[in-house]
Amino acid sequence: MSNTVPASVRPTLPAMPAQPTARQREALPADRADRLHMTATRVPVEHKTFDYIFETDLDALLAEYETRVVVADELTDPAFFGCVVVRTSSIAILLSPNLSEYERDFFPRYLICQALGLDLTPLPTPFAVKVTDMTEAATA
Amino acid sequence: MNAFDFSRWAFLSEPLPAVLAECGAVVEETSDGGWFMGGIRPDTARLSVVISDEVQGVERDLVVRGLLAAWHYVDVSDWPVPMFVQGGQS
Repeated sequence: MSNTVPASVRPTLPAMPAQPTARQREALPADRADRLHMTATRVPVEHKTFDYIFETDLDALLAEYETRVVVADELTDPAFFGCVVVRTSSIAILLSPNLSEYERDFFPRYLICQALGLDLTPLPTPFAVKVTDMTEAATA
Repeated sequence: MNAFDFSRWAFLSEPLPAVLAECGAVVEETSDGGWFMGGIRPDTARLSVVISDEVQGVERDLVVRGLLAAWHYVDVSDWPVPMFVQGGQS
């Protein structure tokens, strides 16, 4: 068998490794890896890193993390740049309509890092991040 | 009843026994876990969908559907359960 052919119909995602990582190889017993023609594994831990999140194609990243990005055209508060809501199986990101093209690429990545709890260097002034526990609001 | 058309929607919406029947597949359980969620082993007359016993409930249902969908060339890169699928018919 071959593990080198991605099953996806979009086989050219640049940041998706075509070969199993060393960790994945360790996770799959050799006899099973040899007999199975297709395998599904959880999002590799290598993908939960600052480098991966900022280097991967944004569409692939959003799909991988079940992330939906909404640009809130009705939001006019100049102090708001975006927010992220973390749910059990998905992430929702709300962005200000006033962001530049670069910022629309940057902030989803930054907020995914926040959602994953990665240790980030604080953003430079004038940006600041506020974390709100909405658990009680969600269950009320 | 509409014919099963092997589309993304069919794999997601049809009852799982119907999906398995249309694909000629059976589900096996394995104690393999960790990052491994499941796999497909083509046998002579059927497909065996091998699922980790650590994958349960809705996740298990969707991984079975996702593997069969991927086997039939459906794009599962944004499947409801995030999973990294490798391999295929060859």
